[in-house]
Amino acid sequence: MRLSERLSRLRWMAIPFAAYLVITLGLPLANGAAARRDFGHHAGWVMVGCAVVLALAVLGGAARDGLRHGLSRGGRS
Amino acid sequence: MTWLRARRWQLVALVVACAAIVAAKQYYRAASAAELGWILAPTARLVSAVSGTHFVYEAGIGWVDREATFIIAPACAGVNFAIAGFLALTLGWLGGMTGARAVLARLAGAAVLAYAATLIVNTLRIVIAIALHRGTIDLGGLDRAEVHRFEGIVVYLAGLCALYALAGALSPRSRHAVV
Repeated sequence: MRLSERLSRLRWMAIPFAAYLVITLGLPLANGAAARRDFGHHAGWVMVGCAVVLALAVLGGAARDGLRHGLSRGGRS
Repeated sequence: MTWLRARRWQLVALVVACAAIVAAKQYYRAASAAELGWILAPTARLVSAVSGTHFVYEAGIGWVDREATFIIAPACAGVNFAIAGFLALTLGWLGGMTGARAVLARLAGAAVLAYAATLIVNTLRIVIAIALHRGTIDLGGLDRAEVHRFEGIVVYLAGLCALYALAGALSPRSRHAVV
């Protein structure tokens, strides 16, 4: 399965990701957090965290598919 | 106009949820450890049970384990996670909010589930943080504060996705966005 297909299977994660970003970055920004020196640093870590969780979800999906594929092949032999 | 009428209960739910979120954020900003006892006390008890630590309440500070040199302070309450969980569940269940009773039931359900999930996910986050603090998990030359911050983001975000997926699996008729 291609990466684009794997990502489209994870579309549902857009809602929890969006909720997290609204609460951790959106509302503080609306309250003027952009003026704080450490906010950019915090936002950077949040983005890295999002990328890591997404990568883990893609890898987890690939591992699950691989396992299923292996089990179904093993069952046939 | 017809579109608005068809979705009026969903709009009502969104307005109520947004008002609750803004109010919760304002409350959390200024809340003391004692005022956050409804979430910090059960979290401290769970953390103590899981990690074998002994957190006790100290006025003005929070829940402290002097032996582990660790404090569960208001900043560790997980209220932002609870709010994000409430928002994600509200958005996911929006399709099923077609009447006053459905809106009330789902918003209340979202609040209860978000609270329960916060206790579990925040306990996991703090237990990992204690292990990092004690050196049980080797960090090499990495900055402990940055690792603690990153660990929090990853655990919260993964916990939020798990909560959302679980809520979708438990309510197949609610037209959850997961489906």
